[in-house]
Amino acid sequence: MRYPILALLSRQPGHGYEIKHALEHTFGAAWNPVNIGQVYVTLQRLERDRLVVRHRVEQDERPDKFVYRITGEGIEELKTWLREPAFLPRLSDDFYMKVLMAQSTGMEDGRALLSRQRTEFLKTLHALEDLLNGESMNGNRVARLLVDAAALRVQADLKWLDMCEEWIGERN
Amino acid sequence: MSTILSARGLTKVFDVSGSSVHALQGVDVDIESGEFVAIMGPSGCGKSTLLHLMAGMERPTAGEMILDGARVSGLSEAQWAVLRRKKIGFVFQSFNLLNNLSVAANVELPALLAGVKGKDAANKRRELLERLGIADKEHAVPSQLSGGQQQRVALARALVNAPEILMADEPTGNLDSKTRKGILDLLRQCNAAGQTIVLVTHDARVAAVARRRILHMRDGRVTDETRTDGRRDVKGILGSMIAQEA
Repeated sequence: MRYPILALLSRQPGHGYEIKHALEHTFGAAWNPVNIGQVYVTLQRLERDRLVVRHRVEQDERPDKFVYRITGEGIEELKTWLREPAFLPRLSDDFYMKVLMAQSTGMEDGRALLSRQRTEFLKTLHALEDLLNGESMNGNRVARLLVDAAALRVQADLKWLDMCEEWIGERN
Repeated sequence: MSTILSARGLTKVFDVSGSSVHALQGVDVDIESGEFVAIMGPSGCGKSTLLHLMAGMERPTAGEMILDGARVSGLSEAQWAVLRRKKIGFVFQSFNLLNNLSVAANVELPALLAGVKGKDAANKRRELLERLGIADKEHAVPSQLSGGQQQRVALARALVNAPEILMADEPTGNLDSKTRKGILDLLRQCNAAGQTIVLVTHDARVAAVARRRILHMRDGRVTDETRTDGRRDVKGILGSMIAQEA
């Protein structure tokens, strides 16, 4: 969550809980609740990399809080990141290998494996559609777009399963 | 739950310019009362043919079918027409509304054909159009309506005789994503109110709204069945799209 936080701080300084709430507001039901521990870990790393600086603010009757402000280096880092096209989606899921290796080793029935995987994907798609149709999604375009992105990837994987099924059919 | 429709060994062979095309190769299906079942598969897999056979709009080359406890495989065209009116509501991708009739008349027609009194048919029509949010369109003709509105009229027409099964063939195929969502919401509401639904689609996102079962077809056969009950937590995958390692 390095870049969403940098992007938020580029608009105005903030402390941990403000950042957490702003992230939740931005991503809505697609990312709620945000883990506050993760926010602080990310802020520490950003500070270590001199992309943000931390100021202590004294409060009456409450412990001091830390407000984070983006640095010039932070702005440059954010701009560079925004300008770079994203790399290929991460295709590290081990199910690709499972499907291919089940067939090549003969240790697992390929069709049964595809069927189980298809069930997983469809349940995921089902849950994503439920999320999209839920009230928590109302009016939040950013959240909708993220869920749509997830749903389209699951659909692509479902299509790939169909291709695998065809392949298995041809081999048997 | 009771079985409302049961088919065994449904086979359909089409004769296309002298050669036989096996559209369905011995399909078994059971539909339970109150279920929402999606049938999905690539185009040409036989899913629409299966739906048309289950709706009695076409006759199988071989196979047996029981609808609401009665064997229907041997019925004549005329007997099927009567049965279909009472027990099956059908929604087409292309709506198939009568363009020279008003919305009200389109919806009432199947009820009148089934022998419902004019006043009762009108009441039922009013109730349905109200429920589907198009009560103000009753005097319009279909060509004056948007695609989504036409599909709502088609849905009202399919529901007017309170059918045992509502069947829908790619009901969202011609609609944009927002209108698609509206129609799917309506189908879910109908199912939640107890309506049995069988839906055919090539779109996994449409199939995913089916509450219990998805049948997968390929080359005229049902090759897989997915049960979609049980919930999945998707926060993880969404979180991983946003919150990559710092």
